[in-house]
Amino acid sequence: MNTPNDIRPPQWLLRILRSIIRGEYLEEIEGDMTEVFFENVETFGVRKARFLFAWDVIMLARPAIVKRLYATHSLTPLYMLSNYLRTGWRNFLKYKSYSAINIIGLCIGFSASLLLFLIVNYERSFDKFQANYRNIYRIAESWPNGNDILDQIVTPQAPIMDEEYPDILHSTRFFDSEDIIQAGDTYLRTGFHTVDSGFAHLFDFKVVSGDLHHAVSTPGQIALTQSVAKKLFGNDDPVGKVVSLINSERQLTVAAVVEDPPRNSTLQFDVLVPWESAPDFVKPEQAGDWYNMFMTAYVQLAPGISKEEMEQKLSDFPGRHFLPDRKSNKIVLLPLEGQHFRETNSQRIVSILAVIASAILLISCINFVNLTISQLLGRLREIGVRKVMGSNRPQLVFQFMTECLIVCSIAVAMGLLLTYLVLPVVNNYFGYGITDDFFTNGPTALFIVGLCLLAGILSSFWPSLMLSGLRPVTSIRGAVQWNKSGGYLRKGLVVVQFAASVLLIVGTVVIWSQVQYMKSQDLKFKGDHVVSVETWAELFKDPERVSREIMTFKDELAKESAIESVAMSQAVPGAYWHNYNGFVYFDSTEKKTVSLRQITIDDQYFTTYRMKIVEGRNFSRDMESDQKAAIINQTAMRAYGWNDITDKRIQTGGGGDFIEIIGVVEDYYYQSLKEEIQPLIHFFNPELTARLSVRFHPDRVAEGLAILEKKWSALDPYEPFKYEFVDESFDRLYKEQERLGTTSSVFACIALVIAGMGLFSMAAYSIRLRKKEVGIRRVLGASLRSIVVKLSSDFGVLVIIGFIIACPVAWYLMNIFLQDFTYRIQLTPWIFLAAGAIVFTISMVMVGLQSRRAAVDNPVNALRDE
Amino acid sequence: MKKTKLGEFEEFVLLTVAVLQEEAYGVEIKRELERRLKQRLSVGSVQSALKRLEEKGFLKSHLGEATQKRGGKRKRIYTITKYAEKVLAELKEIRAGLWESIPQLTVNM
Repeated sequence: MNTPNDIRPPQWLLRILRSIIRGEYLEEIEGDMTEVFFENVETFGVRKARFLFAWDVIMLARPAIVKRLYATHSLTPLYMLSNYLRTGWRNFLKYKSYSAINIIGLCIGFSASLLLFLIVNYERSFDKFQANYRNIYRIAESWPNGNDILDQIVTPQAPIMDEEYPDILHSTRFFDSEDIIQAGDTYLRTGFHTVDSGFAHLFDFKVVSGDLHHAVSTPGQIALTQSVAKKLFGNDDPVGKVVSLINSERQLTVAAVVEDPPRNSTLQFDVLVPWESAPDFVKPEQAGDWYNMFMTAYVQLAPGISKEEMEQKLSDFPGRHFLPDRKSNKIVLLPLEGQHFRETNSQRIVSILAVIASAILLISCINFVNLTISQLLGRLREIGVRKVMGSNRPQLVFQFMTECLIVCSIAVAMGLLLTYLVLPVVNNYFGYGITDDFFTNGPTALFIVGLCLLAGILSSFWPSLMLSGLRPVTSIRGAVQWNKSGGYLRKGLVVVQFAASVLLIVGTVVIWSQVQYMKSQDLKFKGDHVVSVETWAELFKDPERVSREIMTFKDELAKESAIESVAMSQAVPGAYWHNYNGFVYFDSTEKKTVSLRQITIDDQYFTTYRMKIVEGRNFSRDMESDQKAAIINQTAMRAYGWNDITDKRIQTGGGGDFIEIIGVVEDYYYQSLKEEIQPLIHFFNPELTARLSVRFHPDRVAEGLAILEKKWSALDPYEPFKYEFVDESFDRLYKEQERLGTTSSVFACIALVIAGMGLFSMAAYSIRLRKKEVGIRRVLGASLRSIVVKLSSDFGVLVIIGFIIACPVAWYLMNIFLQDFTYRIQLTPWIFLAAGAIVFTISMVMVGLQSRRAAVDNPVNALRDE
Repeated sequence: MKKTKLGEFEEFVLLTVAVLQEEAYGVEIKRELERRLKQRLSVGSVQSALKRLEEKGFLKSHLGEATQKRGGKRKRIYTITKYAEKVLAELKEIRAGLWESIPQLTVNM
């Protein structure tokens, strides 16, 4: 044939051919293909021959001539899988207790960290459902002297800002008040929020029926949440129906029904009313216009403009609009994103929970590694035999990793089930709305799968790699000498585990002590045996009558022998309003303005709460002038720089009458001890109807309550009698901290248990290695005690190293935590030593039990060798 | 007869090997079959039939000489086994018997 030398079958196709054809047939078939190719070149030309060659290569893919998938000499992993599973299962049954510990440990660890992840995730999810949450800010104000930022503003501010600055797309005020709402015969006491038309632009609350834009922008309209609508109208569609707000004397048409705000919304409301239909007391002339700060407002900035840029632009606003004493203040924007953390102060809690979650996960994984090694140790012979029979190292690694992954999956499945069962308890305890849609929720599903793989692969890869690398002879004989680095790594893991446990325990102790410290502080007022009942005139069907009779009502109550005293005030300690005003003091030379928190009380208030007047006198009913006088606290006195209160008069920033300071009350804690006491001013109104505080005779509380209920109900209220003890509601301020305390102690216990299990198996493992040594020592006359001490001391050292590492870390973290509190405990070495002692004791008990078992065993069993 | 599972194509290949005698290697078998069946065959189809037949014991083979047009690869020469001869004869006999038993067709032919 005259085939030119440069014409050859396409080489890449030949390579494919060589890779798929069974070796023994290759020469013949390749020859045939080549021959046919050259024949085709003669007949059809090179191009077509190439095409036919390619086609023929494809057609070669026939079972009789291609390589076998299951060739006997190269076992692929899949083929052996069933064998691995069977062996794994047998081992699982053979070491039931280890397997159970392994699975339960991982299951609890997984479940705990998943729960914490869900909690953290939930806490971070606040307000993120608002599409524009990144551009929404709450308006706040800061004073030039202090670092204090006040998130209440004056009423007219927001709309004017909206008008003057094009970068503010929308704004809304969000003013909270209460009323009785009526539809037909149904009366319902409900909170309602007055908002501007911007509300519907800023926020994305789901509308069920009607039009929210219309509802919040048109006078005479109202929007209800679903639950309010249901209470008022049952299952009927309320849109278009008329409701009345009794106290505001408004008739409003329902224009929209929105879904109840989700639990992870910081904006919570029942009813929305457009600003034009607001009750009279929020109208500028009644709402303190430009000096009284009690308004909540939000703005939405144009996309792309940052908080800092906007604050810079707003810096001219106070100068142009604010009253003289506040012209140098700054307008501050607080991102909506951070609102939840600002309100609950839970940012730090969330970080701590995240740390705990990671610590538990770490401990469980380390545990898994140690337990896996202990378990594989019983299978050294199997490993040796497998190697002799021709298993190679990757196969062994694959075998053990498969087993570990299966154990992991079982543990994770059980962990999921456990989480599912515990979740309602967590939701209830934290007041959360975490849903159990583990797999449809992106981040959660990712977390679960990631965790499963991470724990499984990381914790099994290393032990299986190590064990599979042993020489068959040594592993069959069972005489394994670990190399040094392996031993150090394992010991290192145990140290980390115990460091983490110490850290968690220290954290728990510190958090609890801080909570107890705050609870046991002398609050400088006494709230025990005092109940508070809401007694606003508006809550009763005949408000005028209640206002008229309130003095007699109080006097009559106070005459009862079971009741010691009765007082009326705007709010009770622990729930004072965020209502501030700048008050000016005119000195002979200069004027000094201090922003004071305000509260209105009656003459019995200080007596009822056992608060001490340290200077001047209490309010008196008999002095008409006292209604224009005030009592301040010591902090306020210091803020003005006064040494006494003789002839001290102040004036509100907006002008008006001078207020005479007639007394100074000792600084009492009217809010959580987390915060500093702010300067406070008390005004006097003897005919106030607001919150009634009643101090009972300590032994006759039940009797007193019955009398109070009867008398209160006789005033004909809309709603039934409801009361709370002031000391209890004050303690509730520490709810977050107590929750944190409980949560971290529960999880610290879990971590300790898991770490203990790990140590237990570690001890079992290393003692098994030293079985012969123990036997020989016994034979040569060592005492039981000396052997136990000898075996335990190794672990003691590890625990102590862990403790030493943990202490500075714990000290650092706890200092950060305590910085949240104005009044805080000191970190003493005792806390650390106690935590160390707990961990040390538990681990020594675990190890001691194991060593004792080895030591009391008959030495013959250890020394006999067949 | 029960054990001899011989497909139609396999039977053709087997017969071709018998026909070609010393010349019976892959490409020649393919060429001969293409001529007789009047259709193009792929190397794979012929080769897989050959391998199956060899496995079932109808064929035996030995390596032949290498040529330049085969890219220096040797060819494999196939010969039919005694067993195959027997089976082929049996098949022919059964077919002949059947043909004889069809009255009309015999007439038409």
